[in-house]
Amino acid sequence: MEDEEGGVEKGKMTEEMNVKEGHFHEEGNLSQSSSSPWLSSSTRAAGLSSTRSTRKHSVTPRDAYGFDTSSNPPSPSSPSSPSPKKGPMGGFLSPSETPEQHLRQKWTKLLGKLEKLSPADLLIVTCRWRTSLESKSHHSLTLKSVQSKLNLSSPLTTLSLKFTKRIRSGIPRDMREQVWWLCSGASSKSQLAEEKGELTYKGILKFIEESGKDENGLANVQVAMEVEKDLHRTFPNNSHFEAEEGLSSLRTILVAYGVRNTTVGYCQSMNFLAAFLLLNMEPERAFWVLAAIIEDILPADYYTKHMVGSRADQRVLLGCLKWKLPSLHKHFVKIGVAPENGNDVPLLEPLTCTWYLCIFINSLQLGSSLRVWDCFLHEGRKVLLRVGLSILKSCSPELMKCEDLIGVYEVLRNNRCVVSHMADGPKPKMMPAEELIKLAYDKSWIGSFPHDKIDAMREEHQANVAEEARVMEVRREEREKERLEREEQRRLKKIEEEKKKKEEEGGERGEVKETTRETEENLLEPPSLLFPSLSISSQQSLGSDAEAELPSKFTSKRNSLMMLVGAPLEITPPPVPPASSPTGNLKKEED
Amino acid sequence: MRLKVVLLGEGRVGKTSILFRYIRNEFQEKQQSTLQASYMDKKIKVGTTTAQLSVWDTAGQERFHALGPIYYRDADGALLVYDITDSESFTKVRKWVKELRKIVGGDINIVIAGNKIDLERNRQVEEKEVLEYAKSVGATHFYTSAKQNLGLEECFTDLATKMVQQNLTKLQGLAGGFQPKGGKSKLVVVDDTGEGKKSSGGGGCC
Repeated sequence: MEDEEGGVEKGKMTEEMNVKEGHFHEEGNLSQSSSSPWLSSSTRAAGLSSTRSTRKHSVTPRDAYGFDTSSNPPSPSSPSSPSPKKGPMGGFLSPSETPEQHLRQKWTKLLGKLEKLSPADLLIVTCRWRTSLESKSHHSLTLKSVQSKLNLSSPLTTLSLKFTKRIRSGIPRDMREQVWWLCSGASSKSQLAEEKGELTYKGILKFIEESGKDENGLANVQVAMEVEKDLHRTFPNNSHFEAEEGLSSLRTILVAYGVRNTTVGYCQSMNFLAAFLLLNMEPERAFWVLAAIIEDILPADYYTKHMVGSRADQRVLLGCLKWKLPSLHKHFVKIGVAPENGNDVPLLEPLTCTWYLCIFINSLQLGSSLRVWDCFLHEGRKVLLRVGLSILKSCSPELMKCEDLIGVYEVLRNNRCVVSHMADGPKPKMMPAEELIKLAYDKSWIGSFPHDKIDAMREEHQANVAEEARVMEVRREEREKERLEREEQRRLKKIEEEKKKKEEEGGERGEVKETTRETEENLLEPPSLLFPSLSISSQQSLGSDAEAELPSKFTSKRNSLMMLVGAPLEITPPPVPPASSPTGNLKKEED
Repeated sequence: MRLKVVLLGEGRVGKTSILFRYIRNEFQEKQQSTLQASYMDKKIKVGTTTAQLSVWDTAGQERFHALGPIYYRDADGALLVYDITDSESFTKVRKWVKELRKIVGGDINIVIAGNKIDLERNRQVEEKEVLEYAKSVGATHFYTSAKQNLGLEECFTDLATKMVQQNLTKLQGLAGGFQPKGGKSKLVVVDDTGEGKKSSGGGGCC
């Protein structure tokens, strides 16, 4: 498939398709009470009652999502009252209609149509991100079915196009839960888990409850402490997360996710994803959408140990910059911000990585984040690049004036799209959400943006980042090995001296030798640390458990350990000792 | 003279609070967890030299170390922060010292800050252990409280002094090998041997 739209939208649906038709202002829809209905639904089933007391509710002004608006008055992207009569397309609306009513009607009609679809068709229409993924060979069967169903004359195609168009125009707040639930694929994901007999959300909660509590009163599962650390630091000024109920839901879904996916566990930034979801939906659904985002929609390894996926995406972003905004890229290269060779580490990484890890929460304003999430959950990972590029484009005049990295950082943390609380100087007038979305789909500069090309770019970068991570580990280990060797030499020298001293005193040779060996062992590792625990002990001496354990590199260490388990000191053991070796099994375990 | 200082340490030890207190004299009880690498600037006078400190702050969680090298590779100094009420956070300081040694080498000045000293009653990290450790790696140790604004000036001044001296020494070295007048440079040379001895002798420090 050449183009991202594949069989779906060739020649019909254009990328910039239309974000103009319906304006929808996030906070314009204030008919709902400001307390999220979902956060009151209890998550006590988790058995995760908190040890902390509920915080007092302050009387600061809040927006519809519970954010404090006292210091930041509602931004242009999220006006507190609906914009006046003028129809978004300049006169489609009857005078009595507000844009919100108009949009709501359209959504109601569309959701009505979707209800009539079979589950499989529903998935095809709503989860557009799947069509791009399914061009990969391992999904080829599904792809065929998608292609056959989505030929241009198919009514499904029309519906799918309409759905995308609606999404890009915004979703009424009270419908967002339903739409996100469908288009993220979370709905089918949870169903599938049930059918396949995997752990369901309730199953996980039960598991957590049965695991009991640790000495701190936290759930006795691995991620509990890490989650707890960030709990009170997630939207700390939002009324929902000042209250125990909100915190409890947040804790539950993060801990539950850590149980579901032990490879990811908990990574900082997931707290914001989860909280953002909880502002829009009930906990169980939020959990599944979180799972869909991490496991399906985002590229692999976004939140895992070395964050290879998210780091690779920073290079993809720069690659796209070169492609779509070549003059800005050229300037970045000139001032040393972007590497000349696209495979080198981009210096912007620490800054832009957070855009991606948090899917723009905290970087963009609330209204814009919601709109970006609408598109992201339906269209997938590519939206992140569109938005990232749009931010860069929107401040490119200022960026072109920058002369160094600091200057670029300064602009990128304080511009029309992104504001950081660290930034100095006057706050610029923020870009309305509508304008940002328009810019992200503006064909005049972004042109065609085929996922195949981007995926190829990503694959290359992922391989590079993974390789770098590996090299870094090796380097760390080499240094550690050098250090250990130095240490050992010193010790041997010391022992040698002692030996000589004893010899001079006329002691018996053989005995001395035995003693020496023992001393050496004790110095290197306490006798209690036998093979199975080698990985732990080497981790410690490596200085970071983020570092891979390659104990086979530490010959000296291994020798001492071989001695402990009875193997002769002289042997330099092969990576996998012979089966007859008494250490064979232990070694395997450790590997 | 522009000097880069990185704040390093486990999550929730108070890195961002230290930054805000030191640079802007602000303190927020409810601080959001930091993810994005960011910085703030402050001018500081060391003797006759005025230096522009850029203090960088970032996420504390271990897996974010993957992003670390870009962040701290050209740093002149590191403030390693731990929370005196969280013994695990001190363990992370040890890891950071090793990490910096391995990635940056011996050139980076290190100061260790035991933060949240206002919560002395909940102390979990033993003073003796900390001081011994700091000495073994040649780092200065300070107690701080971002909340009550304690120890921060001293802490940053000490770090700035070391960095300025190191920079001047370097510059003079380049200019013709003259040592600064008054003799002894206060350069911190972290002896990872001493540290290593300690860790393996004691059966693993962590």
